[in-house]
Amino acid sequence: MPRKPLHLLALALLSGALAACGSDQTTMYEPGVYKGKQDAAASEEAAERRSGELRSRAERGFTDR
Amino acid sequence: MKLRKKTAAAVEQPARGLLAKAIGRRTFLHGSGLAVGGLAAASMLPTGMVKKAHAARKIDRDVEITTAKSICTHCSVGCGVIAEVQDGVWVGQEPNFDSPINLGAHCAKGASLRNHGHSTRRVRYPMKLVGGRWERISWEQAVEEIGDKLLQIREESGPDSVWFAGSSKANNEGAYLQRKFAAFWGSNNCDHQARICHSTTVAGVANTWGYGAQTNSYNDINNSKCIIMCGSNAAEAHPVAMQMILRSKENGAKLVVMDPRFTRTAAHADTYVRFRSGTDVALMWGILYHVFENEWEDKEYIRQRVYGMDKIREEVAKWTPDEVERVTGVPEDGIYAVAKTMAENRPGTFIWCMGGTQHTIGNNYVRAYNCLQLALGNIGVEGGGANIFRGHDNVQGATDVGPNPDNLPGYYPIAEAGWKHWCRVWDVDYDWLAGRFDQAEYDDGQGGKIKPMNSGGITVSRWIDGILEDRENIAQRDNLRAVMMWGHAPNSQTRGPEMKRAMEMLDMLVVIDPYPTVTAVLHDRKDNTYLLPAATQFEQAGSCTASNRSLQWREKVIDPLFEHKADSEIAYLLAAKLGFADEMFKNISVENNMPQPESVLREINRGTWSIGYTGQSPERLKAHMRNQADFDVVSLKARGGELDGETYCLPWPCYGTPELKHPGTHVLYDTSKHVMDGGGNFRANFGTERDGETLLAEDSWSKGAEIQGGYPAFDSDILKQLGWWDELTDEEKRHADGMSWTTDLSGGIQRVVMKHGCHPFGNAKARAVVWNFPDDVPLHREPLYTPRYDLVEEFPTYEDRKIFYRLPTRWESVQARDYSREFPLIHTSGRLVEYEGGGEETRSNPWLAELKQDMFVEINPADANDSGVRNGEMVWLEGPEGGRIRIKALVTERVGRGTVFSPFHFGGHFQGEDLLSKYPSESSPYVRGESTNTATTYGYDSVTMMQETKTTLCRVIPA
Amino acid sequence: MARMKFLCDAERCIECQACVTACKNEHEVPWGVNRRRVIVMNDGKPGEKAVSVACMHCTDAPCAAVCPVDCFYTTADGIVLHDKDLCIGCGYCFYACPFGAPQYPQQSAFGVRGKMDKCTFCAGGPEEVHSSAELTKYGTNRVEEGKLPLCAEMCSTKALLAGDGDIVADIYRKRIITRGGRPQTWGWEAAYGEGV
Ligand code: SF4
Ligand code: SF4
Ligand code: SF4
Repeated sequence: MPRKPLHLLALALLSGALAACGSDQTTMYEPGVYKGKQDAAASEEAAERRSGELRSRAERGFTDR
Repeated sequence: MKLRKKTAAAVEQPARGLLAKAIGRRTFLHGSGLAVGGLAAASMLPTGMVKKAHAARKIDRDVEITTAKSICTHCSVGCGVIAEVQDGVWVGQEPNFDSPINLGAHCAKGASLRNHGHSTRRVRYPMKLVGGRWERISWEQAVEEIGDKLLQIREESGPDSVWFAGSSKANNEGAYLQRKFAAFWGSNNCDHQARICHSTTVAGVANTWGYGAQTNSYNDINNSKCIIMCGSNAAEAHPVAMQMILRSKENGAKLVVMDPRFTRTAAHADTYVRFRSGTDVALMWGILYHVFENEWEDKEYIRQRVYGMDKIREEVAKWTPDEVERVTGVPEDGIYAVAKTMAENRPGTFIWCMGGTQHTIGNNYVRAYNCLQLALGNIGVEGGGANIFRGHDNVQGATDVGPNPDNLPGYYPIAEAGWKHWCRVWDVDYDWLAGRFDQAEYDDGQGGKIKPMNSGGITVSRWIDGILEDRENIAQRDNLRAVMMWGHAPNSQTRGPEMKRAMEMLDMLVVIDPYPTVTAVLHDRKDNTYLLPAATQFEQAGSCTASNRSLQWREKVIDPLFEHKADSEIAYLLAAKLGFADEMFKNISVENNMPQPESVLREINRGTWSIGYTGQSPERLKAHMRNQADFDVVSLKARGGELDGETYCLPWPCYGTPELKHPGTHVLYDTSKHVMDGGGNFRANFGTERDGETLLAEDSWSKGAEIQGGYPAFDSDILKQLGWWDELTDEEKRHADGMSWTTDLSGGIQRVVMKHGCHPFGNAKARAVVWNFPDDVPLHREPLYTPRYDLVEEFPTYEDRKIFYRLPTRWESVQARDYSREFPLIHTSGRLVEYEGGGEETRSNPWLAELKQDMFVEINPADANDSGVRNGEMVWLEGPEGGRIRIKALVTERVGRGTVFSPFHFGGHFQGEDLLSKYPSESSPYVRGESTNTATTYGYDSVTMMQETKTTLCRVIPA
Repeated sequence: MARMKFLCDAERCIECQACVTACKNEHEVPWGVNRRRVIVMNDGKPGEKAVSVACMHCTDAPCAAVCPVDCFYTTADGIVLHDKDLCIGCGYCFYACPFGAPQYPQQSAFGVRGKMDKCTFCAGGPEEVHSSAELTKYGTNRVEEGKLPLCAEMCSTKALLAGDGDIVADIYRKRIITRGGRPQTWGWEAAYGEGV
C-alpha cells in the first residue's frame, strides 16, 4: 500500500541525483582521477625543466663534501 | 562511474608497521602530535598562544630578496646560516652548503632560527616592576634609574657590591665590552656561562699543556681511528658534530661512548660503557691500568713531551680491575676492551663535555682524560686531541676575551702586569683605572691580603652566596646589593630555593636579555627590578668563536625588533651614564651610541697577543666568510682561491699582526708542521725545571724550528742573546724592548721568532702532574652527595676553605652527613636537543616548544617500581637540601638502576606552582616547567668553582 | 624522467628534529600539525633507531585511491599533492596512508577537522607558483626554484635524503659500501614498491 509513494519518491530522488551529475557543481568519484585545479608545475615540461637543477642540488647538498 | 560516497570500511587498511612500533620519548610525552592508531588531529594550542594560520609572512616576488650570512646562536659547533630578507623582514632560511663546518646542516634549534626574527614573546621595551606589576618605561628612564642606583650603591658599599653576569651568547665584541665595562666600573665581579660549563676544562687543559681550548676540531674527527666520548651527548648537545663523527665511523673509526646514561649518542656507538656518575677518575685510571700493563703507552712521546707520567703510573697502579669495578661498577672486560680499542686504533680523539666538567673534582676528571691521551701519544696529532665540545655559540670567545672574574681578555692575569698591559692597549692611565677599584685589602684565602683589583671576583656559580653569606665572611667590602643578568639564565645554576631568597634580598635586579628569563619571575620582588630588551645576534654584526677556535663573522640580518638594543650599545649607554664612556671608548668608533664591531675587534686584535687573537682582523674574517666553499672539510684548509693555505676563519692562535698572514691553527701542539703553517708544541708556562728535572721538551720541536729541543717563552732579552734582536724594525724595537711575546704591542717578537720556526710561547713538556692544583695527581674523591657513603672514608672530599673566590666554601662539612638512605637515587642532569641553556629563548620558539612540552625525569623501571611510580604520571623529585620539583615520570632503561636524569632547560614553575602570572603579558615562553636546579645541591670544584650538577642525590615519589 | 623520493638513513639519523623544525620554519605550519615526524624504535635501549617520516610521495598513492573527492594528483616527477579547495577533511587518506602522513588542523573547539595538510615535498600546490594563495595554503615552492625539501637539506647528519630517486639511492648505496652492513631503507618498499 505505501509502496507507490515510496517508488515515486525514489524516482524523484534518483532523477534529481542524475540531474546533479550533469551540473558542474558536482564532482564524480573516479578513483585516482584528479578533480582539482590544474597545477602548471605538475606538467611533464615543468618537471623536465627543473630536473637538471634538482639533480645538481641533490649532489651538492647530500654528498659528503 | 559512482556517485560520491564511499564507506570507510571499503578502505583497505595497510599495515602501519613503522608507526605502530614507535614508542619513544616523544610519543610518550605531550609532544609532536603523533597519534598512534588514531587521527592526527592537532591538539589545542597552549594558553596564551595566538593561533595563526599558515604563512604569517608574505613574500612578494617582485621585491628584492637579499641574503645575509650568520652563525647559529645555539651551540659552539658554529653552523653557518643563510638568512633571506625582504623589506627588512627575515622571510626565509636556506642551508649554507658552503660552510665547511656544517655543510648546510642544522639541528632542531638551528633549523628554526628564523623565529627570532619575528618572535612576539620577546621583551619588547624596557620595563620595571612597580608594586609587583610590570610597567613600560623608556630607555632613557631605565638607564637613568639603573645608573643612579648603581652609583648610590657604589657610594655606600663600593664597586664590588654590584655583580654582573655577562654572556657567552654575546659576540666577541659584546663580551669583550662587558669585561671592559666591569673593569672601568672598578670590579672583577663579572662572570659568564663558561664558569658552569667548561671552566674545569679550561683550567685543566691550560695547566697541562698550554691553552684552555679544544685542541683539534669537529672536522678533524674525520681523521680519527677511534673516538671516545665520555660525558658528551653530542647527538643532543652538538648534533651537527655527529655528522663528522658518523662520517668518521663509516670510514672505520671505532666509536666508544662512556656515560651513566644510554644517550642518543650511545645509540650509535660500537661500544657503550655505563658507569656510576661521579667516578670518571677511577674509570680513566682503570683504562690506563691496562695501557701500562700491556705497555701500550707511547714511550718515546712521553720521554720527549710529557712531564710527570711516572707519578701518574704510581697512582694508576692502585686501580686494579677489581678496585675499579668496586668504585665505578664497570667489570674488567669492559674496561679492557676500551683500552685495547684505544691502543690499537691510533690516532684516537677524546671528547668530553659537561658530564666531565660539572663536578666538585671536575679539574681532576679533565686532567685524568688528558693523562690518558698523553700516555697514548694522542695530543698534537691530526685525528687525536682533546676534542672538548664547548656549549654556547660564543662561550669559547667569551672565555678568551670576555667577562671572566679571574683574568683579563687573552687570559692576562688580574695581577698588576696584566692590568698594565691592558691599560697600554686601552690607552688609559693605570693609576686612574686602579683608582676605580676599592683600595682596601682583604683575606686572599692563603694567609695573605689582597686588593680587589687583583683578587678573583665572585663567580656565576656562587653569586647567590655573595648575597646570602654573612658580610664578615666575604673577602670584599660588602655583600652584593645589585645583580645584572646581562644575557644569562639563572635556572642553570644550582640551589634554586636559595636563589629565590637571594634575589629577594637585592636592592636592585636587572635583566638585559631578548627574553624575560626566569630571573624575571622566580622571586616575589615588588620593585627595583628591570627588564632591558637586548638584541639577538641576528640583529647585529660581529665575530664569534666556535669550539674549534675559528672566529666566524656574522652579518647583521635585520634591525633590532621593537626596542631591542645590541649589547655593545647597552654597554655604551650605561658607561655614559656612569661617567666612564670617554675613557672606555677612547679608541673605539661609536656611531649613534653603537660601538662599531669592526673597531672593537681591532682593539681586541691589538691586545690579545698571548692567545693569537691578533691576526684575525675583521677584513680577514669577512674574506673567509665570502670564500667558505674553498675550504676542505677535513683539514679546514683553503685549497686555491684568494685564501689558499689558510685555515677556515683563522682558529686561534693566529699570531702576529693581520699583515703577517699567519694561517690560523687547526690542530694545537702539532710538531709535524711549521709554526707559520699552524704547527706548534706544548707551551712553556711553568718554569724550565722542577726538582732538577727539565720541564722543556727533549728531542722534540715543531717542524723547521731553528732551536732543536726545548726552549722557554720569548722576550726581548732572549732575542738579544740569540742575536735575533736586530731583525726587528726600529719601530718594533721601540715597543718590544723589555717586553715579552705577550706584551710587545708591535708583534715584532712574535714575527721574528716565528721566522726562525720557533714558537713564541716556548717548547715544553705537557704536565701530567699539575703541582699548583689541590691534587697534583688527579685523585678520585667521592661526590659530596654520594650514594656510596661506604667509600667516603677512603675517598674523602677536600677540607672546607675560609676564602675561595672571596667566599667561604664547604666540602667536607657537606659530605659529613650521609643522605644516601633518605635520598637513594643519583640525580644527574643534561640537555635536550630542542632547547638551549636555561631554555627561555628556545621555549619561546613555537617550532621547538611544540616538540617538548613537559619537564620530566627519566627513571629506571626497577626504581619506578620501588617507589610506586608509573610511567607518564606526575612525581615529586626531592633533593637533600629541600628543593622539590613536580614533574612527569618517564620510565625507561635509558638510565641504569639507581640513577635518574632530568633536563635543565625548563623554568617558569617553582615547586609545583606555575609562575605564568609573573611574566610581562605576552612575553611568557610557550612551554614552562620546573627547573631541575630547584632540586640540585651545593658543591663546587676545588680550582674553578664549577658547580656540581652531574652527581647529586634525590628521591622520587608519586605526586 | 626523474622521480622524487625521500630516503632516511637510520644509521645516521640522530633524532635531532631538525627536519621537523625546518619544515615548520619553511612553511609556517601551525602548532599541532606535523608534516614530518621522527619515529624512534627501541627508545633508550640497545638497538635504538630512528627515522624521519613524512609523506613519501608514493608510487600509486593509496591516499589518492581512497579520496572521495579525488583531490590528489601526482606531478610528472612523482610528487603527490592535493587540492585543499576540494578536500573535505574526511580523514580517509589518513587511514589509507601507510605512514600516517595526512594531518588535520583542528578548526574549532568542537573537534571539527579542517582540511588535510601534508608534506608537499616543498613543491607548493595547485595554485599559481609563488602566489600568496600557494604560500598560504601549501607553503613555499622550493622545487620550482630548483631546490629540494628543506628538511633534507638541513638534516644534521645528512641522514635524510630527498630528490631524484636514482641519485638518492646512489648516495645511500655508496654509504653502505663504505660502512658495510645491509641496506635498511625504512618505508621504501611500502612507498615505491621496491628496495634500493
Ligand atoms: S645548535 Fe649547534 S648543531 Fe644545532 S644548528 Fe646551531 S650550531 Fe648547529
Ligand atoms: S605517504 Fe601517505 S599521504 Fe603520502 S603519498 Fe603515500 S599514502 Fe599518500
Ligand atoms: S634532521 Fe636528520 S638526523 Fe635529525 S631527526 Fe631528521 S632525519 Fe634524523
